[in-house]
Amino acid sequence: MKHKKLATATQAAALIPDGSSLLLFDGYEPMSLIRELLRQNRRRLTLYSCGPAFAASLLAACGAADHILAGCDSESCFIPGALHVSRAILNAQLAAAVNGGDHASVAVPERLLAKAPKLYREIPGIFDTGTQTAAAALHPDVAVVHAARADFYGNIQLDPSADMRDADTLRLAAAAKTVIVSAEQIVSDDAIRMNALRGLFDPNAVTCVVEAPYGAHPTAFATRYRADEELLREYEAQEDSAAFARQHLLSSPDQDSYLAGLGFERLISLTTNRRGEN
Amino acid sequence: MTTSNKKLISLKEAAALVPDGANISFGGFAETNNPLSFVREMIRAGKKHLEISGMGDAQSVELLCGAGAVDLVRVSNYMAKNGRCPNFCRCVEQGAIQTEDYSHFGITNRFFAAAMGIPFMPVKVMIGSDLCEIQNFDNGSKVMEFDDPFSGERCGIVPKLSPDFAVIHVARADAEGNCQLYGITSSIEIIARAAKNVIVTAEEIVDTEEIRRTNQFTVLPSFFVDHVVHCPFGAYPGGVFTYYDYDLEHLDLITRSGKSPETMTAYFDEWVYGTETEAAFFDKVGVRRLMDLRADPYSGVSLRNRRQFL
Amino acid sequence: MSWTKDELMIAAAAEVIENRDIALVGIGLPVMAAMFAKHTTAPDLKLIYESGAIDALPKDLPQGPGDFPLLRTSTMTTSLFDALGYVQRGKVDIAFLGAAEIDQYGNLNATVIGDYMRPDCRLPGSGGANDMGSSARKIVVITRHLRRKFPARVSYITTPGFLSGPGARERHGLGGEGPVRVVTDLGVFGFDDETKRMRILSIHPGTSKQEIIDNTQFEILGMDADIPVTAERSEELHRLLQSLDPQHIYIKN
Repeated sequence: MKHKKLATATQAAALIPDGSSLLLFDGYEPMSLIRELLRQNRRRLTLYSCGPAFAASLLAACGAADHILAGCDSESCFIPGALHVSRAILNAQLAAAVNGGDHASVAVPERLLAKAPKLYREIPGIFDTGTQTAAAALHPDVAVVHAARADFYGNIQLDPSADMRDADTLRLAAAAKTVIVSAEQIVSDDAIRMNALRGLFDPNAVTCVVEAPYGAHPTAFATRYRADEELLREYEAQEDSAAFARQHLLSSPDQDSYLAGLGFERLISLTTNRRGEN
Repeated sequence: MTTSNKKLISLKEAAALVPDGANISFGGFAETNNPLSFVREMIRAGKKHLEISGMGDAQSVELLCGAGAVDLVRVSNYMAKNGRCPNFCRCVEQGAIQTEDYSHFGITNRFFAAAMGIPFMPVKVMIGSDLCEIQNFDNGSKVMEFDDPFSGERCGIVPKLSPDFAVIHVARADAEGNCQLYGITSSIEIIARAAKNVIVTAEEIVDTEEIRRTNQFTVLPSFFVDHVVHCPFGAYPGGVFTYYDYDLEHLDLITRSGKSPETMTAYFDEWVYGTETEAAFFDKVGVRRLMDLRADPYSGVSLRNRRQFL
Repeated sequence: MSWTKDELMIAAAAEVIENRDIALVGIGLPVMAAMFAKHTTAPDLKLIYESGAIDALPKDLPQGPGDFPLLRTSTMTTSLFDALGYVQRGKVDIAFLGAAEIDQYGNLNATVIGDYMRPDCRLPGSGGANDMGSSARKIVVITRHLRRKFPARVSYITTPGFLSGPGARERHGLGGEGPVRVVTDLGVFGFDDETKRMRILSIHPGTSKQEIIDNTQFEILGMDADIPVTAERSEELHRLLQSLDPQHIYIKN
């Protein structure tokens, strides 16, 4: 039985209490939801960041996160306070949860075995003698994803012009108990059918959908707009990131007034594709 | 013809190109594809004494009549969403503007003759009616009955009509002026091909590569276009298929404001003269409202405005 | 439940549509007439809109001839020039028109009331009406029946009916048969074969002859004889019609 899953940012944020563990994906960042969490002064969050999500940096800088595990491959990827592992390892840990196992059999470097024995350890080999390394399956409380299109019933899609190579990673959201999605645009059933090849999740697994045009700002949303480089550079240059964030990213009470504050001209200047179409 | 690297200009620069008294045509059809950002910019610039020839250009003409910018109109049909166009009707009834009435097909054929580089087009419309019998400022140069010299068949002929300027709003254009549009094209390509100077306002500017890749949507080749302007939401409060739906509330606001010169002036003071640029206008309309008007990818309507939203 | 005036008009207009007709529709009650016909007696009816939307099957009722819901389901989206070119070519079997004024020869006025150069009332103008009236095979006029709308001669002929009478259309080289029906909220009318003047075909239930006479400035032929009552269709068809416009976008009375 279909039922309608549209929610406000406030309603969605209520599903992420203090102490929650949150799964984030670089490039698909629901900044409007993150801002709501910060406005509500969330604390003691655990973050799993697939890729160097700005949202993770921001939550860390504002003191909202106690533990951060970041899956990154590049040297330049750095989230203050995070344990950095490779994307392959983090992805494998989430996949293990999706597949119902308690660990992933994956090569783990020495430094991690020492640094995080609760997550990474050596265990006896199974098919040959000797040992193997194992990484613990991860079960985040909530996965939060910013997508392109959604309907009232939890059908979530990327845009027709999207590179679907990210879809496999995004589907690791299924490791989480709750999946919350913000979408650039709410569309009709017919529109969902027309774009069926770009579907992401089983709608039954989606708890709620929040409509959020430009919802990834100031990060990019590849099929529709660039990152707001000017704002991000300014943020990086600050000594006191949290103060900057409070003034420039968290001062508006909601997404509507946040966008109104950015203004039409700025939003258009960031926009690369108005409809996400081919 | 300007060289290609000078075609992409700003909206204010484009509006400045149109002199007072120009013979100008606007594209569009009913609530779609009207170049209203351009029209608002013309009103800000205080254009006067315009001679307008068009087809489907009701919204543009209604605003310009309200601003007292118009002397002559070649009219086929002007309807607002909910009834007559009050500014246009009042201007006619008070003798402030003069009209010459055509049918849709009749005036489009005048543009078509110019577009095809021929002196006239034969038609089977307008003749027999008062569209032919009653001729005002186009007297003798409007439509006449004519017997086909080959067969003797009675028809009508209409002379070519080449406006000084055509202003058309399209979905996508490249910097060269290749234009793309989704859905119906009304008669914008014919009007553009007829005109001496063509200004294109476009929702998006794309690379020529992109135009080539999707060339089934191209409606006008670049060599007919003199200037290109990036004009997102440039048809607002009308709509553009697959981009955004029309804003019925704002359309009704304009119609209501048209009830008297005073209320119309108040509308312009608040929304046009009171906003120096289109960016300021759209900040006043509100980013949220514009986002709500975005077209559903399938039906083209705003789900919030036209369907039952939650 | 009895049929409302709007519903009777829709059904009467739909009756003129033959299966496999190509119809040109604009806005208003004609849209309902075409949809009703398509769901009942004329399933092969094809609709074209002067905007250039060809053979659309919209899920949502269109709110104008260029309205977006038409565009996704059309077989073709083209220009107004093409669509009205099809009309001029003689491809359109039936077109529906409204008017501010209609006279005894079925000529329509949608331009001005009063003198053209300085009218008492400026109206919307021809649009595609003259184009359709000049070339479509059958014209059906749908209008409210009010005295001011039914003058002996319209003050401006926007759309040709039979102009001054028999032979006039042919002399001017016009195509099509001209107006075949006038459907009002008082009755259904046609045109006399010989004189080309308006003649009554049926009177709506609950309407008196006197009402029609009072609301018409000219003599309608056939008012003296027994006039059939406009037939109400079955309850099933009534429910079908109502289901086509659940939000009362078009059916208001």
